[in-house]
Amino acid sequence: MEQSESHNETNLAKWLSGELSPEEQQAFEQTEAYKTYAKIISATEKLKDPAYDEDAMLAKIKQKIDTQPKVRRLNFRYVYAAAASLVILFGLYFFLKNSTMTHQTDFGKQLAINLPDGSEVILNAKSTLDYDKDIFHKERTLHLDGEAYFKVVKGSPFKVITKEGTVEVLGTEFNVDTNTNFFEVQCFSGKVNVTNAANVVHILTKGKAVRTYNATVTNWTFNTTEETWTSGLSSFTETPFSEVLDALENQYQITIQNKESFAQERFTGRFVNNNLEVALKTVFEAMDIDYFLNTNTVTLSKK
Amino acid sequence: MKPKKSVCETENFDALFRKHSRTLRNYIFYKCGDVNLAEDLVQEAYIKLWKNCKKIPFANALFFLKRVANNAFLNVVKHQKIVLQHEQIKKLEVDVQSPEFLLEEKEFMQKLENAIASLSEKQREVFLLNRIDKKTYAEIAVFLDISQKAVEKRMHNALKILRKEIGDI
Repeated sequence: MEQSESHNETNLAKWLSGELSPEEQQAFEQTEAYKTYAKIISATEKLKDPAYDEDAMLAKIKQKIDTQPKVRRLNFRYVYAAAASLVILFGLYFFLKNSTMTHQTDFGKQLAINLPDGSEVILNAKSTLDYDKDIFHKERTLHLDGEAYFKVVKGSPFKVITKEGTVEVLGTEFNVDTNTNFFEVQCFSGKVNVTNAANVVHILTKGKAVRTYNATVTNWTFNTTEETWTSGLSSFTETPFSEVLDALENQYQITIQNKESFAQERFTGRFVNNNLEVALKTVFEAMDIDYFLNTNTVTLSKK
Repeated sequence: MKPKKSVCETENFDALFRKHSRTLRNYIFYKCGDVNLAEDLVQEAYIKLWKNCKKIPFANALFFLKRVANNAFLNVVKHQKIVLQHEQIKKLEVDVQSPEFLLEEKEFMQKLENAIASLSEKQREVFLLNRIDKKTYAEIAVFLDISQKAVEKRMHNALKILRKEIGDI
């Protein structure tokens, strides 16, 4: 074998793919080296590539494709001219007027907003809402990052755009909660049209809710007369626990450590928005998690 | 005459994704040992394919994807010698064996992983595409755009080096 190895540059590859002649095969099996090669090959059967979530990858790609329009080749002379005039136009525009209204809430704060059309929004902690007040009467479009409760008066289509999807209605009451890879809409009255990042459309009626979490969609029903965060209680249904922890942090301006250990859990229940100790107790005792509060940091550990 | 398949059709694009994305991801991963980087580059490659779907015939799509991902990879890690870990690819099967045997097995896997890390990039990608992704030499040759003979040579040399690094038993 050693001899033929120097003559042949591919025979190990041929052996592995079963292309050696019976004589060659037999001769090879007699060699000392054969045992090592055989063991190496049998050990490689145990090697695995890292986990791969094909659907999640495809969803991400689709989302990026939708947000970036197709590129067309442009003549660069025109591009520069267009860019220059755009800069001037934008400059003038912002110089003359800035019609974008932005509302932002800090840790533990809520904000009630009256929109120009008479609709009402309640913005939850650590959230941002903006809209263009000049065109709002023509086009009721808002951008939301975080969580908000909407009470919409009837009229032209009312649209809430978030990074994780879009909600469209005519007149109704609904709640939108977004976070990275998390998009949840609850409908309290009327009818709501929800489009998530993967462009899947859901129509919700009173008491129906839908959530997209890491590209997985869940539907459920809830009781619309139950109290929600707008009345001082944050409530959750089968919610990924990481979202509940984020809500606690936003509400009480605390930092929670060792969150990753419990990210896979789901939580159904609520916590009060005005008493940190009670809130921590209700959440973590229910989940059978040990916690330790030191000024503004909560450390979690398994029981 | 059948109309030519267009990459711009969502159906065809999705099929290309499901068929090749994992192999592409692994191909980049075998080069650099960084799964996240590999997945980002593959995502970008598919987005680029979509943007240019009118210009790329369906039959050339895989070649295009591989080239884009590979170029992006070269841009990212240019001039960096990466120490390979391959830490995530060890997964010993659960077996009812004596503890000594299991320990030996574990040691051997460790040696094997170190030996794989010591292969050249070209040898390693061929070896792992064959062993983990179960691609034939012919498929690897098409994927890498080299001759089958070249694939077999790399495989042969990879095995020789692995044996040298691990030592005879």
